[in-house]
Amino acid sequence: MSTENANVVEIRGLVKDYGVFRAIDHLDLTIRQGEIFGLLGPNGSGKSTTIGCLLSLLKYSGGTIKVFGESMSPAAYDLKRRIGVVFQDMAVFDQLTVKDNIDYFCGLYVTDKTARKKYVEEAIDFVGLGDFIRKKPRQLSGGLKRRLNIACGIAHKPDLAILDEPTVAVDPQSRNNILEGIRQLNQAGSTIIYTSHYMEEVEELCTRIAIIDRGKLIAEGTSSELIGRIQADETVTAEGIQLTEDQVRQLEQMPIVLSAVYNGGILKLQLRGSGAGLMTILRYLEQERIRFGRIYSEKPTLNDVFLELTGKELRD
Amino acid sequence: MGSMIMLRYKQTLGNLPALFWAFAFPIILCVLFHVSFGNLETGTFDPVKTGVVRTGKPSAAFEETVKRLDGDLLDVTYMKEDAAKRALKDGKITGVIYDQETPRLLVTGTGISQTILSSFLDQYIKSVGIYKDLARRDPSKAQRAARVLDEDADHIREVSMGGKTYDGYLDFYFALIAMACFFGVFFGQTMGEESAANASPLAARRCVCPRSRLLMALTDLLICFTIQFTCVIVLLLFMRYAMGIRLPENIPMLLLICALGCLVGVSFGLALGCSRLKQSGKNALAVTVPLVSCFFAGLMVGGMKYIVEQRAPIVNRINPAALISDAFYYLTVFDDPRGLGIRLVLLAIWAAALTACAVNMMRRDRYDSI
Repeated sequence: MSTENANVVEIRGLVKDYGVFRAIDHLDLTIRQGEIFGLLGPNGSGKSTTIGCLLSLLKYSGGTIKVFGESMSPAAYDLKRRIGVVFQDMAVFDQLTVKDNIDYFCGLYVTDKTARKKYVEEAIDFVGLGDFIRKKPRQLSGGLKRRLNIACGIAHKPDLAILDEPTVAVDPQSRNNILEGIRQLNQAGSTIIYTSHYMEEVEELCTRIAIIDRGKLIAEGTSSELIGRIQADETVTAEGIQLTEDQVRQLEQMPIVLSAVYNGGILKLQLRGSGAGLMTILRYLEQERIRFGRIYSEKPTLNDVFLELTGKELRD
Repeated sequence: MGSMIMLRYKQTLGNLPALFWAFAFPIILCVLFHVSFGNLETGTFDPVKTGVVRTGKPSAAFEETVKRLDGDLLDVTYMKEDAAKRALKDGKITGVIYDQETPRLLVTGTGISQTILSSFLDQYIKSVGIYKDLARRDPSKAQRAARVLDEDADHIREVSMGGKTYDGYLDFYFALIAMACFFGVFFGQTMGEESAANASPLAARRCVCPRSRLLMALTDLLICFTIQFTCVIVLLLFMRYAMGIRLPENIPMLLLICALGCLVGVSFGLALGCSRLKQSGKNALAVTVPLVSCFFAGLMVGGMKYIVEQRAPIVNRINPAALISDAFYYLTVFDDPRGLGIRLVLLAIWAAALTACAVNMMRRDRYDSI
């Protein structure tokens, strides 16, 4: 890989069918060297299936997959040696200690004993499991287990690290630790593919994001590029508010309001233009003597992008 | 590679439930058998006490055959019918044979002795039938047929005794060894689940590593097999030296039978682990198949194998546990290389077929779904 932005992964026209159900529908993805590439989508959108196809674990119905410029196949050992995978579910031996687990999985990639020993020690430091090397996985907390899972996947210092929802069911402290670790891994030279349905994580971590739904690519770009695609510049939410139908209609007809949804005492307004939207709405409520519990303004998120593109919430 | 294999051994030996079933449980069962049978398992074979009742026109050929086996296989007393029935009822004799054109057997129970009597009579009637048929179709060969039948009668005596002692409780121990071999299924199942990417995330992680799937499958099989084989050898040593149970003296043959048995158990487990069955289904089959197989081999009910042999002998030829148990039986009690050979070949076919199936499933590298 000589050029800075050479393609690490190229997926073209990927199709994966499970009987009559199409899980991946002509998916195109390009992941460049040095990126932290986020694959964002709700549960069942096809993220893990895409990863399975990319790793040649799953047969696919059509399309091509290239990794480091070469066709990926089960016997492409030279390519596999450069890839590290962290699966969504725990994938370690319960009978081995933390150190033995990392040693075993690192050993599947690195044959040189001296190098392996060094890699294992570095991986233990990297995930902060130095105090637990003689413990078995069942003796670790959920967060520590996740860290072990990650260490087993990246101990051999892969050029491409694939992390499939590594923070599911993890406490905030461990989550921050994991995210920080991923950044460090990227800074050390690994290209990262990060799948998640947690938009905040993806937004915070990833340099480029692809949003997929029902196996199709809906949008792709940096976080700001994606958010820039939607019309709304601000979302104002008022809770504990009582409105008449006329009042809702009046709000909808205001020039800055793109859409107004009033349901169960919660008013959600998508506004165009930046800055004064909240003040305008507050003035209207005061003028109409409408009481409310609390009101706040938010910048659009990837969830708003997803909502606008698909008509549903990311976590639906 | 060496250190990787050692780690895999360490991990497999850390599978305590499998270790219990494969190693500890057969030893515990052996001790329980020993306690239950006490000293009954020692002793030599006694000829079967048989009453012979002459009815109608006695068969000279039959009387000649009985005479030759008297003292060896049979302990014959010629009696009146009433006396014979009384003796049978009182348990003084095992069975009554009616010496007539087609001899008939009367027994009141089931067991090894009754089975021996029944087998002897079946064999005699079959042989006489063949002789008569041959004599009718080609009288010139009748003399030769008579000679063959004569040898067959000797064969009955040799096969039955072979100069070796017989122990009625050995069946249980042989079935127990068969069970121990078959319990390799537990190590195999776990390892299979760690090999097929559609069975567990751990297996998926192993599948994406840059290693030959065939090599990994064979390594896993070897690890599983050596552990199970060691467990069985420890069981044999325990039986022989701690319990004083008489085992076959032909050590290479003994080890060969155990090795084939372990291969059957481990391969079945590996294939089961790799299968797409639900976990509960896999667990159920891992327990049920060996136990049912061992049940028909006589682990739970004495004489079961003989009942099966009488009613559906094919089951004993295809049941791996019965083949293992039979092979031990031939090695210990009978001098019948042909019978032993047949069982070894059948066992080897099972082992080869299951191993091929397991390795093929384990080396799979791409799936329709995971």
